[in-house]
Amino acid sequence: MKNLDDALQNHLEAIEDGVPVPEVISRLQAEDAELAPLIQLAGAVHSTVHPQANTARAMEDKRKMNTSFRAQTTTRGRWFSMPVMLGAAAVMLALVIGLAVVFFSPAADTAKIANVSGLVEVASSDTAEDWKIVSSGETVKAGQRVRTYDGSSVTLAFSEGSYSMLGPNADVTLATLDGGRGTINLALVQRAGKTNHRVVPFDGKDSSFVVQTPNGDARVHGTSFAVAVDQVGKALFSVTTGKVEVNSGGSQVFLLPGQASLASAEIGLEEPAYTFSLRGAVQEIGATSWKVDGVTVMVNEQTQITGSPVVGSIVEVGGRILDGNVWQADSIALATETEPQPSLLTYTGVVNSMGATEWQVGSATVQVNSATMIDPEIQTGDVAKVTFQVLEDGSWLAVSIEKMGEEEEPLPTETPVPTSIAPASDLQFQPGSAEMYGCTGDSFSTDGSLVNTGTAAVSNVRLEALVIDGAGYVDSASVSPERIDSIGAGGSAGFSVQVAMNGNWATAVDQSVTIRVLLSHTTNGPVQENAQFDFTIHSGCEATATGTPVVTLTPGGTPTAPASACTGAEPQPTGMRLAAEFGVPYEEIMGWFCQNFGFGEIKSAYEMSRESGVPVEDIFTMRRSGMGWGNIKKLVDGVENPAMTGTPEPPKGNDKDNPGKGPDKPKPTKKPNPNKKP
Amino acid sequence: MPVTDHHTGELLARAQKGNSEALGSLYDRYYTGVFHYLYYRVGDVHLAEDLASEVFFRMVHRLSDFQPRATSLQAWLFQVARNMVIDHYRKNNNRVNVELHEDVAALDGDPTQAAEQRLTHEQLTRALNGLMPDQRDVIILRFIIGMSLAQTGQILHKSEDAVKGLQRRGLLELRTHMREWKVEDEKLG
Repeated sequence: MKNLDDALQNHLEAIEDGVPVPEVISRLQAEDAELAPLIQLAGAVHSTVHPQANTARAMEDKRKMNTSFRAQTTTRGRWFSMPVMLGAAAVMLALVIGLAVVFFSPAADTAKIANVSGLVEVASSDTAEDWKIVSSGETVKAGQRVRTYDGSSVTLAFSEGSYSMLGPNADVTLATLDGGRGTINLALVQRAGKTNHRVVPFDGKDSSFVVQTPNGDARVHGTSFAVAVDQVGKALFSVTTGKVEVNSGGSQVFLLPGQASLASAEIGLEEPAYTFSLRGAVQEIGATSWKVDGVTVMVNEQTQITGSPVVGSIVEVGGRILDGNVWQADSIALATETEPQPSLLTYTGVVNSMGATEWQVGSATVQVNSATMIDPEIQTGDVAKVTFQVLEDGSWLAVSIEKMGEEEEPLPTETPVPTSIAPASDLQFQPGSAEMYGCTGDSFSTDGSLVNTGTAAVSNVRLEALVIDGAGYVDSASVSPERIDSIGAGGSAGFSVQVAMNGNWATAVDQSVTIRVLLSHTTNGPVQENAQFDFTIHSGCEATATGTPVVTLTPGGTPTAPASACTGAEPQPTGMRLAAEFGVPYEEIMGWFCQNFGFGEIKSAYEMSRESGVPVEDIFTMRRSGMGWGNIKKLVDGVENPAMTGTPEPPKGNDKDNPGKGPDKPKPTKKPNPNKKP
Repeated sequence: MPVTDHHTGELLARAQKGNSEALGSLYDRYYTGVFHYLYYRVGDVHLAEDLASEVFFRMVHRLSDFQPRATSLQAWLFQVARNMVIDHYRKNNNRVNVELHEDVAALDGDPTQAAEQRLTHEQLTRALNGLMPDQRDVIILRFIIGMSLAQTGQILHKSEDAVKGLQRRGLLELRTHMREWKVEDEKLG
């Protein structure tokens, strides 16, 4: 079949190569004659004298741009140089705690208790039973024991800037805690629970920071790491930045960023392995494996499962990627969020290759696209943290790829905390979310306000848009403005979220995209999860929605032409022939023709419809959306149930129960209207 | 015609390292195309200048984050321009401005000739805005900016086959609209 699209392109290329339009037209074969006016029009558009911008204005804009550029390059730090990711939460919390530590100035032999959530108790020693409830602002000193309960947590901030965060059901003792100016000597005995630590790089060898567990110790020097101890004393050590020395039963391993090691009485100290972390819905539960949000993980008797999750439960899974790409779950716990949280799938590994559309990180292949947030400094051989989502076909699409292992910027040591700044919870998004149906185009936006409900002004507010769902459909997402100088007490500031979809969106069915706006200001990091704004766009059209095109023609609306304007007074011979060939009315064929489908396209659509049972209108709809004929054919060939729009399967012409029914006919869901604008 | 080549890559790399001269060269390279795109989307020279200015200011602010592997700078600039137009229409109730201006720079000289030329691109703007969004963008990028199928596809995130289809159907629609606006065949070519 002759493809008019290709033919037109070939002729246009000739014009681009310098062949005069009349000569190109004179070369047209008879079957391409209908292209002549289009070639003429393309030539006319191309040769139109286009308006020019005012030169002085353009030069002035250029000068201003350069001025802004120079100012930016001299003041920009690297802190905000890469897209903010959820994983940055801990890093930014470090800054908050660092500031708080300086403000409160705890003595070297004490740790400040901060960020108490739930129930936290302190006893005077390892063996004492004099437990007392503590709150933020109190201190704990060497020899004392701290424990947390279900759903509780606390931060211990040390004098030189390091800190330890204790999760639920943690039990630790500050066996040793002393130091001098800028130094620390800490031995933390951890019996249970999970702790996260951020250790300021030491100035000299006078400092030490050790976490001791029943089955091994972690010794660090300027790093971020975590230790989880289960009920039987098994300890999982994992590292975010820096290097951690782990000793257990005479064995020693060094963990690098992204790695973890398990230490237990039964198997001793395992070799370092890269890690993964999943938060999502349980899809399958087997004896040796579970499936969570499309990712299969292995479980064994070592896997700590808490909360009795079932299929459909939202769980958090932590584990290691062992040899042979075995994703071994070390812990599976029911998610405790009171609010639904998005799926979050991450893993770490060495970047082995960086292709245009695919990266090999660790032993897994992930797709990348223009929406993937990629650390600009990352190179092959680096260790990366990949946040990904599982696509319908089972492949993985990277949402972000972040280089691991770099030391964070030093924590400030002298910056006082302004006491007049409102706490983070005073900033509220109004509304808290927005939803819309995205059948009308591929670019969307919504507006909202950020309201300061507190009694003090908030300054330097930063907004960041993050694609948390449907990244495979998103070309770009942004929030404007990205920075607000100040919001007064009781005041508000507007913002706007813009989303541009990519080509996949046109064919998305029952899909949605969610953009989350996160905020930060001087007193906290850029990820402030208790104040966020979600903008969700659903594919398709709501049943009662009245789609509004992005752009409409203002004078007189959209003009329509009578049928005769395109069919002519005399029957069109090709239309007659196609109508006879497919057994449909001549008016139906010409109806499509009047919607600017070529006869070749009409023939293709009816052939595909006849072969697949997919209604021709659905095929033309796909074509209107911009799909190529090749992709349409693949799609309709793959349709098992032809009733894409609920239309019953057409009767077969050879059906013995329907003799004389005639040849198979395509089944349009409704007759096309020649006056209808596509 | 703007192109993405090794030279652009070098300019981009230098600009990302803080070289303002390289940044200026990128501006020179892409400004006219971006301006024309914006003009044919909003129908107003001054507004197109304002929006073009904003596009390049955004480029400055996002320059350090730009990932050459993920997309070309040219594609990114036009995507930004496209989003800004959409945003502009949302804020202005989807109203297309096609206004007469006495100071359109290209129309200096013979007033009679100027009136005819102005009419032509006013008609073209009106007709373009009657097209479906993707068709309209393809016509502008292909025949006004002069981009290749591949470049157009990269900006619109469509395959070359899809662009070919949009191109032909867009021309068909455009012709229909120009006739409705009484643009004679002679002017169409």
